[in-house]
Parts: sequence; C-alpha cells; structure tokens
Amino acid sequence: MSQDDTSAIPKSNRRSLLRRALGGASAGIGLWAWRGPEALGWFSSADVADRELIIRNLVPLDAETPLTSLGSWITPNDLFFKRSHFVEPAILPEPWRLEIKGLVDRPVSLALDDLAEMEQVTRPVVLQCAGNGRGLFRPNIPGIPWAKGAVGNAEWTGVRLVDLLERAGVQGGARHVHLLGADTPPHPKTPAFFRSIPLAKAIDPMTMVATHMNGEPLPHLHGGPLRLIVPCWTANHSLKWLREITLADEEAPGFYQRTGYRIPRELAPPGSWIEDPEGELLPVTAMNVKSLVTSPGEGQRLTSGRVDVRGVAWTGPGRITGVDVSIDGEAWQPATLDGPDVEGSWRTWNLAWDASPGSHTIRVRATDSHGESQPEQSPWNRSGYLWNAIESIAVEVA
Amino acid sequence: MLTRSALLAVCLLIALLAGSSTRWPSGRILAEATPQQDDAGAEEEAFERELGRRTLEGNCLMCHSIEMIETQRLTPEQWAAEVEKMVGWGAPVPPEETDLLVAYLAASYATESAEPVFGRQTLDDARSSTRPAPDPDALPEGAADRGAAVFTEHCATCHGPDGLGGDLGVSLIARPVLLRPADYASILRKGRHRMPGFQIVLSDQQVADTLAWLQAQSR
Repeated sequence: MSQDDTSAIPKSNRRSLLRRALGGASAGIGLWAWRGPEALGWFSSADVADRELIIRNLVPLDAETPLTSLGSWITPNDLFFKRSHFVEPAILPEPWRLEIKGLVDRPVSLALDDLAEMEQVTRPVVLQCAGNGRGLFRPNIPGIPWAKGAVGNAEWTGVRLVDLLERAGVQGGARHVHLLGADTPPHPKTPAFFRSIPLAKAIDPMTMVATHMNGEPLPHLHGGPLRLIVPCWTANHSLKWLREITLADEEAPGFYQRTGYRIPRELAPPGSWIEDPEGELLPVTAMNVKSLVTSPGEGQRLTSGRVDVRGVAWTGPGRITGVDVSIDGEAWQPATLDGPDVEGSWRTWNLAWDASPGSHTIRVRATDSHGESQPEQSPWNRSGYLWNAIESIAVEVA
Repeated sequence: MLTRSALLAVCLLIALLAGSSTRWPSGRILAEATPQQDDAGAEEEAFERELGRRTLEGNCLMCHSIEMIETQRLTPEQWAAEVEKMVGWGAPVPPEETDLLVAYLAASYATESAEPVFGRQTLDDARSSTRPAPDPDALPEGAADRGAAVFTEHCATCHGPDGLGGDLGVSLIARPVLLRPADYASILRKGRHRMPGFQIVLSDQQVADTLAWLQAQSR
C-alpha cells in the first residue's frame, strides 16, 4: 500500500463524506441490506449432476449454462457462464497490483494483501451477459448466439469499490470510473476491453471488487484474481482481471464503451429492420425483469399427475415481486417465491401443476418492484441486447 | 509478391483438382451430357469457395476458433459488414480476397442454413487448449535477453517489435500458449495458419529464448 492520508478519519465518516461531496446518496443505498465479511455458505447446497456447458465458442471461451443446471439459488463456479472478448491473460506469477489513478488526490497501487486487510463484504449477485437471448431474436443478429443461460447467481466476496476510491481521494471533476483489465486484444488494431461506469454507480456500496466466488479464490476464467462486480447491471460492467481504475470527467474512450453495448432509446418493434440512424443510443446498463424455467426442461417427457414447475427470476435495481405461470394459455397463477430476497440477486420460485396427458406449453412472467413485467415479445435491437420476452417451454405428458 | 500469389494459386488448383477427383468421379462428369460450360462454371464456383475457405482459415482463426463463425446465420450484407469490421480490427485479409471470403461465408452460413449445432463440454474440457501446462522437458531453459535478439530478427516483422502484434501476426503478449511450452515449441517448428514453420531456422535453444522473452514481457 502506498499512501493513505485518510486513515485518520473514521471509515464510516469517510464514506459519507465522499458521498456528500459527490452530490448525495446514490441509488441502492436505502435498499442495501446484505453485508457481512463471512461467506454465507449457500453454495454448499448447490448440487447439479450435469456438469456440461453449452459451448458457443471455444477460444476464447464463450459458454452458457443449460437451464436445467440453473435451478439452485447459487450457481456453482464451474457451471457459471463464461463470456470472453479475448483469451484469459497468461500473467506469470507476480504480485498482482491494482492501480487507482486519474482525477484523484493520491494515486495508489494496491497488492492483493492490501485488499485483504480492508473491510470485506460478501453478497450474492446475478451476472447476466447483455446479449443473453441474442440467438432468439429474429431477424438474426451477428454475435455470440446466446440462448437463455448466459446468466448465473454467485456469492462474491471482496471490498467495496467506494472504499478503494476513498484511499485515492476522488477529485471534484471526476464523473466516470474507467476500468481496464489484464486481458489484451489480439492485435494492435483491435480495441481493448476498456470500459467505464458512472461515479454514482461506482460509489454505490453494492459495487465491489471481488477476490472470491462462492467461497473460493476467484477462478482465473472468471476474472481472478480480481474483478469488479456491479450488481443490477449487465455483466459487461463487471470487468475481469481488473488492474487499472482511472477517475475521469468523461466515459472511457473506445469501441466497447462508446459504440458497443448501446441500445436505441426508442426500441424498434420486433422484426423491424429499420432503425433510425439518427436515433439516440444509450449505454446498456440496468438489467430488465426476467425469469427462467429450470425444471422441467424444454421438450421433457413427464408422467401425468403432480409436476413441480421451478425456476428463477431476477431484475435490475429493485426486487422481484411476483412470478406468474400460465399453462396452455390459461389464466396466470402466482408461483411461490422462495430463497433469500436480496437486491441484485435472484429468487427461486415453484408451482405445483396437476399435469394431464398431452402436449403442454408452460409460460412464465416475472414482475418487479417497479411494476415492470416481461413483455410478449422482446424489442428487437441491432446488437441483440436485453432479451426478456415471457418465458415459454413445451413439454409432453404421458 | 506476384510470384507468391501465383504460386499459391497453382498450389490451390492442384489441391482442388486432387480433391475434386474424389468428390466428382470423372465417370459421372463424362457420362452426363451437360454442356462443358456448366462443368467449368461449377468447378470455378468450387474453386472460389475453396479459396474463400482458405482465406477464412488463414486470417480469422488466429484470434478466435471456428465456432464463432460457423454458428452465425447471416445475410450477405451482414457478413460483408462483419468482415469489414474484423479487417478494421486487424484481420490480415488481403483486399483482393475479401469478396471471396464474404461469398464463402454468405453461402456457407446463410440465414436459411440449417440450425447450428452446439457442442457440450465441462469447463475443464473446454479449457484444455488454453490451460497452463508446465512441461520442463519441452524446451531447454531460455534466456530472455538472448530471446529479445532472436525475436527482433525472426518474429518482429509479423508480430511487432514489442510482440503486441503487427500487420500479419497476432499479439503474443500474455497469451495462454506462453504457459504451454510444448504447444509453443510445436507452433514455432511447424507453423500455424499463415505463419511458416521455423524448424530449420531456429534451434530449440532459440525457441526457448523467445519464449523466455515473451514471458518476461507479459507482466
């Protein structure tokens, strides 16, 4: 650890000082209820027989989780989806350092040991690729054709980003936090995965720099030894192999911040090819409300009688307030929500169904605390982001 | 450059003709009373497809594996835009081969092509080609300072003076292959994609020295 002049100020005061200096409390503070240094142990109950992932691309690895493996509240590390822009960096053993620089009072360079000495937080957070569902949009969209499983819920442990920023002292003009990892592009002309988040999101106490995933040191393929975790936002913000944090007045430059991960303010109707080239593009940030059926599986053959329909549901900022199930287009029935209810994480749900012989369609729709619920059709957009249409699976009952 | 292209064309033609004799038995071609021109047209088409496939193999797979491409189902316009984007990002597709590449992609992975099939693997298996694989017997101990000179002389033309990539070669900094000495040695000896083999140019010691230098640069 280099310098830290703020150690004379009590921690809690420092954090509130910074927040006040930055213009008041950020979203999420009022709802934030999950804290504690200890691992919570939910991952120990995760028991899935099928350990295979669906491979979308082998090198660099892009792989999603089969839905029937997503039923437990916590997704095991080896089953957690994998999205890579570039191959994982082969950095030889050396003290990993995290630099914090730019519009700060004191640039700092931290080793992993320095982070370990800071206050530790643990929270369960859903990460979902912004393009989860891209493969379901028609007309087809270029890019990794994710179906539904580029999502998972893990328990992350590390330090709050705001605590790190305080060690460097954020200057008045800073508005954005630039993030750079150790994964380098394959060619000098290929843009680096250089990203940024607004300062208000960076100082949200839910935003953390994680060193552990489900109680284990963060696996290299998931960004180890250090990655950002930005709850409620699409996972492209949760930058892996984090090495540089730079405070700046503007968003990060470059393709992955200024061109990629953008969506039109006015979404085109499904199936539309026409997109207003003058239409304003906004960064994809918060996730939208969504649910999955994890049991039974698509096309599964069941025996008649009681069938437990199960799944998960999550949203961006806010909470899941309800999940409804409709069999063969009949009236929506409320499912039972269970498992912990933590903002940024997901809920598990279940519904007992008395299945009669024949072909059936099970449809599921989640609703969140903003009153948003899944639409009949997800609005088409040219990069295939934020698919969240009402979930539907077909089963055969004998 | 002209000579090289001509040589390449001749090689491709030979390969194609060798392949075509098995795919289209000459008996069938002779027996069918189709006009000569159509056969020539079909062969020309197959030849161009083969050229397109080779352009893909030589210029796309150095950064990502084939699944990224063959699971897309796009229109010719979308393929053209993707190729343009990738060329802008450094894919060394020769300008005269761009149209062939786009035509190959558009014909092979069209919107109306059959649904792509995706493999399933455990994370462990999926990672088998990039996971660190220490192998003390693969190469002698290398010296980074000697490696710098070898790299400058033999590698930097394509991979850039700093190893971060150049017009023809990808970045070698922090690549997983640096932690897989047996793979590293094999690629240097035999070549890969557009890279020639250096078996008769570099000794094992020199290969080890370049590896040591690249590892030292990857911090």
